[in-house]
Amino acid sequence: MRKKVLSMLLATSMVAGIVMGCGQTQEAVNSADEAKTETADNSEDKQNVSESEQESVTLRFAWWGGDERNAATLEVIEQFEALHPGVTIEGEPGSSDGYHDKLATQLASGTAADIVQIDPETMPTFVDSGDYFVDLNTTSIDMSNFEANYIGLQINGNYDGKQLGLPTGIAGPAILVNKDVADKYGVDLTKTDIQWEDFIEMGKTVHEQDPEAYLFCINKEYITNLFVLTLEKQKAGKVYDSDGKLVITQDDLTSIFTYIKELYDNNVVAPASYQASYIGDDIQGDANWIAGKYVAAPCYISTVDVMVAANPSANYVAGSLPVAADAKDGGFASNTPQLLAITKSCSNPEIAAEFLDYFFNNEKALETLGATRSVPPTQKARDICAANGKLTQIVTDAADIAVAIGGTPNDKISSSEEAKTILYDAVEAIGYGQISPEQAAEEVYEQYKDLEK
Amino acid sequence: MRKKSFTKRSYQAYLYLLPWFIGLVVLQLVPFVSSFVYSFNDYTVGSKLDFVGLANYVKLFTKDKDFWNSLKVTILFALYTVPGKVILALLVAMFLNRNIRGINAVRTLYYIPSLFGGSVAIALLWRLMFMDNGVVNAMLSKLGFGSISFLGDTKLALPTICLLEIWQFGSSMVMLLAALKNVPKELYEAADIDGSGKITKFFHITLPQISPILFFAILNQNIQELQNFTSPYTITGGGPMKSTNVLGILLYKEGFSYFKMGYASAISWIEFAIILVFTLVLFGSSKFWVHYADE
Repeated sequence: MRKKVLSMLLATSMVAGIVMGCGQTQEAVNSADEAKTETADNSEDKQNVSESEQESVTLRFAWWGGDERNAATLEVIEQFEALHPGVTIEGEPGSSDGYHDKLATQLASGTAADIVQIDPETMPTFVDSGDYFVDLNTTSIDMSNFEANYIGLQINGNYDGKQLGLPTGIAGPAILVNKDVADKYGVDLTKTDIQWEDFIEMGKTVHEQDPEAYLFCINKEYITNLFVLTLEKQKAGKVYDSDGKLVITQDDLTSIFTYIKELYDNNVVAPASYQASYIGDDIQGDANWIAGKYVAAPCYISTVDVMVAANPSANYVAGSLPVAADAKDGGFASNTPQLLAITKSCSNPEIAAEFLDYFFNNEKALETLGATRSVPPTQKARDICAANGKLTQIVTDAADIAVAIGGTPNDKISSSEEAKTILYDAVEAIGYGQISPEQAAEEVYEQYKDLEK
Repeated sequence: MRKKSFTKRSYQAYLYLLPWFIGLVVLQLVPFVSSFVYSFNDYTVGSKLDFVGLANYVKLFTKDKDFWNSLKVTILFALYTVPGKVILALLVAMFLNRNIRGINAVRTLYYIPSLFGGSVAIALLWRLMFMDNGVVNAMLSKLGFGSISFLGDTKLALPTICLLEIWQFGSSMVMLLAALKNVPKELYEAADIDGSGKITKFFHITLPQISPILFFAILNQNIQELQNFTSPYTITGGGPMKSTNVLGILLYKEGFSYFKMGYASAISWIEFAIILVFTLVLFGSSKFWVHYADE
């Protein structure tokens, strides 16, 4: 009998737990709705904040990153919590793998964290899908330290005048040159006015001297993102116009894919079958990069330090980025590597805004964060980093080159994962010699047409 | 009085079942029905459902070259893996079905790879082992052989991933070992008296006796391998040239990279139908080769 009573109690408590869980969710939704109403009424903002603080507020902040970024971000959270008794910010650090898949589901179901880090090239898909983010212009965040031109770009979070996210840094392409290897083979990737054709000649020079050596450590994803997308903009100015109509022509694509074929045929890059082992962002794991068999690695400003760490004993310099003489655009877009946004499901957007204000403007926070999210987005933060030695010279040099050349950010259609996959497949097929540049251009053009709005 | 007691017990049983039932509805039944509804809609995450009838299915069968490639790769994956895994499990189970010293430790050792089933870490390890400058190629070159591009060759990438799956044969092996131990010894003794050889005993006694478990192992592995995602996604990402792009990866990319949930749901239902057909064929064939003790 006693066992029966105990079993009944346990089963009842489990069911009650579920029911209570549902109840709490409803409460959370209700409080989120209330908070939204409060935000709209600016006159009551301060009063609401103080009330919320007294009540004790718990917010969630989700981001992806490595150990260094995680530690710095968690420290800034602790600093903020110390200044705001009653406020708890639960950090949710994670890996970039699958981060946006999870976020998409959470946004759709209203369970996303209150503050989220987002890839700026994925942001347009979310903005198109629904009204998920708070316009930061309506909050108390002081944005005066940002350059208006910079945060005014859509890629940096500004959508039709609404600041749906704030940029965490300056990112862009970089050519990281292993100077020791470059000198050994007698190639100079730092020369000014470098042209795309120079890469072919240099690649030949390197491979002729050592059949195991190549000019570039790269894979199909990096060829696409750093070479093909850039060439597309240099050739056509833009891939799609603001109305979503295709601008680039099949002839443009043919000449781009002809160039990509030359990269493979002349052993400027390793064979496609070799590259297949290093998929996605895994180029720093390439054993031949670690062994110093490549002259340079086309990468991003935000990953320069990662590439250096893979082979730290070498001497590095930043290479120049080629711009064709008849280029319609610089092509090399410099923009933020991530955005920080407040979700509409946030239970207390004003406290979240206060946190972002602290994150982007407070000197102690900026000192703590350093360059853990690439080169900082504000001059104030860059000065602090430079003074503390938290920005390496190679990263600063790479950022200077990228900013000097610049270019139009990728439009949201051509930078979507679907459009990029079309290019990945074409580049891979060319690398494997399965199709000609003309066939690749025809196929890509047809598939690009299908993506038109 | 008796009836009242029965009602009370039923009530308790339902209460016990309630957490499981809620889990079933929320985590399985609702997604199951939702995905069926989505498959008839043009639906991207966050947008409204736009009913398009059979358009997703028509597009899959008539326009999507990747779908046909993935279908072929998925079936090849199962065809390579299921027989390989079950045959190896049977051979090892027969080897372990003997009373020698330390046999329990050996059985445990053989089972260990299966504990890592579906693990991303093991898949990454496999990639490191079989990449162009990985451990296997280093060993081959030490032995004087040339380097083989296991993961870069479009013909070798799929078999290389299948090897990982076959290596994880432990769960089938444990079941088959239990089945082998239950084969009555009298049958072998009678066969010995009749002068039967080892091969005859295997095909006429062992196989029929263990056939129900063998059937279950094949069925189970078939369902599992037709849904496989982790190994090909982690090791090759579906490449090279989509030679390992199983339906699971195609579905994942459509759903979670391009956010086309309607289209991805249609793929998942096709995959479900394929698994159902394979299962029904296996069940249909079982009456010819599976022997139950009570028959």
